Amino acid sequence: MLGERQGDSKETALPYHVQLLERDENYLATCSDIADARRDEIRARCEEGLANISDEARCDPIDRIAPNRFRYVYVFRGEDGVGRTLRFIVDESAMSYSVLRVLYVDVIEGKQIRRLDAPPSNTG
Amino acid sequence: MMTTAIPSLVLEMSRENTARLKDAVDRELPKDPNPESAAEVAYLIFRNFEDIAWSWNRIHEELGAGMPGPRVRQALSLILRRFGEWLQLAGSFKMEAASIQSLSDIPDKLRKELVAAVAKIEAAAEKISAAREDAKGIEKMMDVPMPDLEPARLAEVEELYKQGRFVDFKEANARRKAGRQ
Repeated sequence: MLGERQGDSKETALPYHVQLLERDENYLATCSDIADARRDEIRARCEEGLANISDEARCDPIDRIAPNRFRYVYVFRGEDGVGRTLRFIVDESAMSYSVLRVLYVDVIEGKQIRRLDAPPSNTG
Repeated sequence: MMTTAIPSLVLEMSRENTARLKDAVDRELPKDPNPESAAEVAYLIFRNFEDIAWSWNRIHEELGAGMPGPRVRQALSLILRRFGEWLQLAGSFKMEAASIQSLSDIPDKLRKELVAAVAKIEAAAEKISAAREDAKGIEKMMDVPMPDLEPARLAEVEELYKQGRFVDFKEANARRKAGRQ
């Protein structure tokens, strides 16, 4: 279902209710790839991003995997400096009720993400 | 609330500084090949490096709590463009500096300053190249293949939803947070 979101513009559209299976919710609450210190923040921002996803992002062909499904990725840097991707597959069949349903979620490890610091002053 | 500052900030900083630098490197320097103007350009390029480093470090910091895919794409697209432009400018400067250094009539002190400026910019270029690789690494992390959900798996998920074995993500987050406090 590729319908337009009620209210249409980003400013006035109401957030979606994002539902996920108990087992997936439990996975997000316990998986060791997410540091406990950041867990609440990452989960909250992840939910917020999904709940407020724009029609443009939801319908982006790069993220569309089936007529009623899209992928949603959330990238974060772990405490060890390694980037990780939370991948979601989301069903939008109940979108007309403002509901998005997560069908799948997991975390996969990426690469190191370093800061960019100035070179030492002895180079000039 | 999620901040939207990073991409617009990167873009905003990109325009003025890069335009100024392009002007200096592409037009002023070849027309007026002297150590003083080269030193001024080197200074501007290094200031631009600091701006870019600041922008990248904001993205780096933001990634500590994570960013949704569309916002990461936007931020990466802007910062990668800036990395590319900066490296191009640094390359142009290096070439100009080499031709100035080959002039026989420049004072030794200025020649040394120019050599030091080139070394500093080369070191900064290495840093930018490394950060560009990291940014490209994040781009790859965005394009991770998704698992193929088999019909049986989809049917199982559907059944669990029918059985009411699901939660509202926002409410679950609030519960977990309250439970930890």
